[in-house]
Amino acid sequence: MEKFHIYHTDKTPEVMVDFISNHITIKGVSSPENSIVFFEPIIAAITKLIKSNKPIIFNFDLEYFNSSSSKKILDILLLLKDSTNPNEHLIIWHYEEDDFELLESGEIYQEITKLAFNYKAIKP
Amino acid sequence: MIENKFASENIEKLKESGEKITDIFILLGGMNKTVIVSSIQIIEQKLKILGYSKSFISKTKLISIELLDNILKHQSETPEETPYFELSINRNFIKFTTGNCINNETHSELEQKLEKYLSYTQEEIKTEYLNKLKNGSLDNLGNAGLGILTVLKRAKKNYEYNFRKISDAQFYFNNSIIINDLNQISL
Repeated sequence: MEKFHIYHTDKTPEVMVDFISNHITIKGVSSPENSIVFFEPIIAAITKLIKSNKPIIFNFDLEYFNSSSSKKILDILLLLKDSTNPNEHLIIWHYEEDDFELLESGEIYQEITKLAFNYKAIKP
Repeated sequence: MIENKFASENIEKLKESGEKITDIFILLGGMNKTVIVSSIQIIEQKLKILGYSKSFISKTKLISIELLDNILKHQSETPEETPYFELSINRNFIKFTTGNCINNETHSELEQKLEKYLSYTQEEIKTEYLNKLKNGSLDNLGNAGLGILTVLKRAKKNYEYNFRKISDAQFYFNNSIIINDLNQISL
């Protein structure tokens, strides 16, 4: 499999796991009916990518997410933290310029996981 | 006439309060995820028109999603009163008011949680939130139990609630949250 892809809906984000470039992207709104069900195949794909032991670039570009999504996002980040090469992965946390709420959400994940985070402010 | 007497009372209180409400958004009755997500889009657009800062709009969306998800979670517990969500805007603050039925077991658990959390400082609420985020798990419906902490983290001390017993098996849970934007851009 070269790519794992889920298209976005009004309640769920687009998810792309690229097994060639080792890039992961989660983009849009995350408020699924059931976070366990929605994130299960995503976690399986990411777990598979992590086993390649290559550096991963993970783009988070979320407009907003509910608290059950926030828990699954942390679970995903902890997979990277617990990998054999956590210091080689990079999380790029996108947020709209001046949206300090979303910026803070990323900072909380960095505080917990100690992964390398790059904060990218996007002009509206 | 509004059938939900709690929503009706709340609107009467607004009228009597003398507050200058410039905008109001009310959802009354059952909802699903599409209603929730659409409502948040409407709220966002309204706050953009009113010149609120990006951070404040984000804060409003993050509080709204938790309040609405909470209503969705409990609305199937054979409610005797319909749920409601209200967002009222005046020149100084935004106020969220919600109401929904809960069963006796949920009432006991929620009352204990609220009494505990509302005795915490903001720093303690943040610590509790981080602890639950790190160490908690989702139940089989995908609920994290983080919703109320997510709201309290942002509401600071501007949170009020009450429970009204409406039958042997049900309470009606009302809560209200006030937030303001110090960085509102004047139009």
